[in-house]
Amino acid sequence: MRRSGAPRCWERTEFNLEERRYLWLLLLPVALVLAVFLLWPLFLVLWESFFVEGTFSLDNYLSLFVRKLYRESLATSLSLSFLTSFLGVLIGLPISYAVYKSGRAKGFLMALTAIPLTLSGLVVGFAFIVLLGTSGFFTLLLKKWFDINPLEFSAFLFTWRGLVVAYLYFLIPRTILTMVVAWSNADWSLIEAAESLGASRATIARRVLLPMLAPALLSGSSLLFAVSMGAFGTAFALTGTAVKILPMIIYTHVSDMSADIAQADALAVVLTLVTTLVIVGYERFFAVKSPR
Amino acid sequence: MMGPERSVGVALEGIGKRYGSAWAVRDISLSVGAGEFLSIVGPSGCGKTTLLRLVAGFVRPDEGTVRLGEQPVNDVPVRERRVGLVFQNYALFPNMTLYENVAFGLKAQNRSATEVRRRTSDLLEMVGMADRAQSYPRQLSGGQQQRIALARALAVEPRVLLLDEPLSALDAKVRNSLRFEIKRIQRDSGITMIYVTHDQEEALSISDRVALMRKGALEQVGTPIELYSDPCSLFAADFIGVSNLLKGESDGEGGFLWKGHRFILETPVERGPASLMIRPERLFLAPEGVAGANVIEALVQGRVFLGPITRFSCNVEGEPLLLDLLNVAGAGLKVGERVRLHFEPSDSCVLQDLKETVPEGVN
Repeated sequence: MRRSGAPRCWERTEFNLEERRYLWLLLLPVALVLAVFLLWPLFLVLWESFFVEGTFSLDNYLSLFVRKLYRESLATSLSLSFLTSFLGVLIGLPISYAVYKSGRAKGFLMALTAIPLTLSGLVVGFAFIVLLGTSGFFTLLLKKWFDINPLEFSAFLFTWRGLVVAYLYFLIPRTILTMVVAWSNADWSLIEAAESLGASRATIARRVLLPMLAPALLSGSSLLFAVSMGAFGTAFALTGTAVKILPMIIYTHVSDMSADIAQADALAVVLTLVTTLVIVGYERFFAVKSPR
Repeated sequence: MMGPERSVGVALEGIGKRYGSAWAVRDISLSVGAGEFLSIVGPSGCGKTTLLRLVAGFVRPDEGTVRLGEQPVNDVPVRERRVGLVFQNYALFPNMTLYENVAFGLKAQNRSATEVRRRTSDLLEMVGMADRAQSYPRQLSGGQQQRIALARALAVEPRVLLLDEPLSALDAKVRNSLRFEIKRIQRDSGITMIYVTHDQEEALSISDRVALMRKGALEQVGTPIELYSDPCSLFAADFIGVSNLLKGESDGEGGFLWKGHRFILETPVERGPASLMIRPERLFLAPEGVAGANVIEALVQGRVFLGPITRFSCNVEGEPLLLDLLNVAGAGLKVGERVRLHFEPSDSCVLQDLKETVPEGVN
């Protein structure tokens, strides 16, 4: 190892074999945290899901096929998450481009974009009630100006449509943050080359721009999907148990008088598995299509 | 080989482009003949890339007119200019095979399927990459990628080909061979090429004419030989090639005064402070015992071996003079040796300091 001067932080530091044997020690703190706060609880959830009143059983999983409520809530969760992640990317993409192009305002806009991500889902839900609820700020303003019926107007907020709107509030910023990075890393000379070859805007978008953004769109929409699947607070504030999404069913099993923790565990396992499978399948499907 | 519309010349008429309050380029008037190979050279930040992007259409001039052939193109968008582009980073489409890359422009312009097939194969053949048609760009070396980029740009029969530092990212060997391949393609196809580079040696070796830029303005335009042997300013003399610049004074009567010497000039120049330029290969060792004009006594202080030549640094009263000698048998000087250097009046060139003292026209 010849080296002139001290190694700099961006240089790849090489260790000899003797040193390498102790390298794993550096990973120990993070490994411990992950083990105690992620793996152990996950294991507990998984373990407990297999017991009904102290004896081993698969009933908690079989009930998925028996009880219509579980199947329907899984379907509701899936369709809500697909819809919101699709809309989140669709709306967030042009905004992310505008933020990327905003010049000096970019830092400020990025910071602004991050704010919704710091709010608890419950707060987001109540914020929507305050703004668009029956006696919400905008509802009353619209009543004053256009004489709308507040009850009719704000009814949507407490249905699945309201959930879509409120979810987008914290999904769109996630799209923006991921895609601004993608725009910054984009190779614009590809676009210029295509332009000089006489390609139309549509051709450039489809054949050059989209493939270029594909990896970021892929990971971005996966993230949105996962967030949607697990979101709970917003739905709790807006629709209570009226819209039956899977996290809400889990919640009722944990909190009800007739608490069924083991059933809640099984549903949590199903939620985790389905989310993971969808994301892995989705990324596989598209990764095959774009040769990288 | 070219399509119905052959390559055309490019004319820049009083071009200026401003970013905020600073002019990136200003007062540029330059015409490039049809089928000509023109290089634009200059230090980084001199505006050469801006000039290229003005011709391509990515940058719109604040002043003046860009013409392709007779047609003013200020308002013509890039995709309708029919101007080819080659970038420093190749800019190949990573999601397409080499074949698809070359065929991209033809398909985008809705050429017939047979024409797409024929021209794509022809072009891949021309750059010697026919056997790799189904590879992806990432599987290629930099030099190969740049060949494909050339083929892709030429496939659509552009009227002008613009190259922005196309060889700067390549290693020396590839750079050299590809340089002459570009020249060959240009000669065979008769296409007008504008070639931007910061490498003056590259520019001198392949261009019909070279345009030297400095701080957004044209410093000198001419053939490689003109720029090398007859630079118009100290900057040009310094940027193009290696030169000895002796800061002294012209006496107005055909002599140049420097450190107590009086050198004879080929033609008298106006009296006043000036610099005398002598290229290191135009200095010779004066024959033994011969005294006369344009002889300088010097002490050899250092030597650099450069392959075909050795460059000696000779000290004349504290000022270094560079001397190039061919590495032929029996030649060579020792460090510490005293030498007498000689040059012909026709091999020197007086550069008045005028340009240096005038405030910059740019910024």
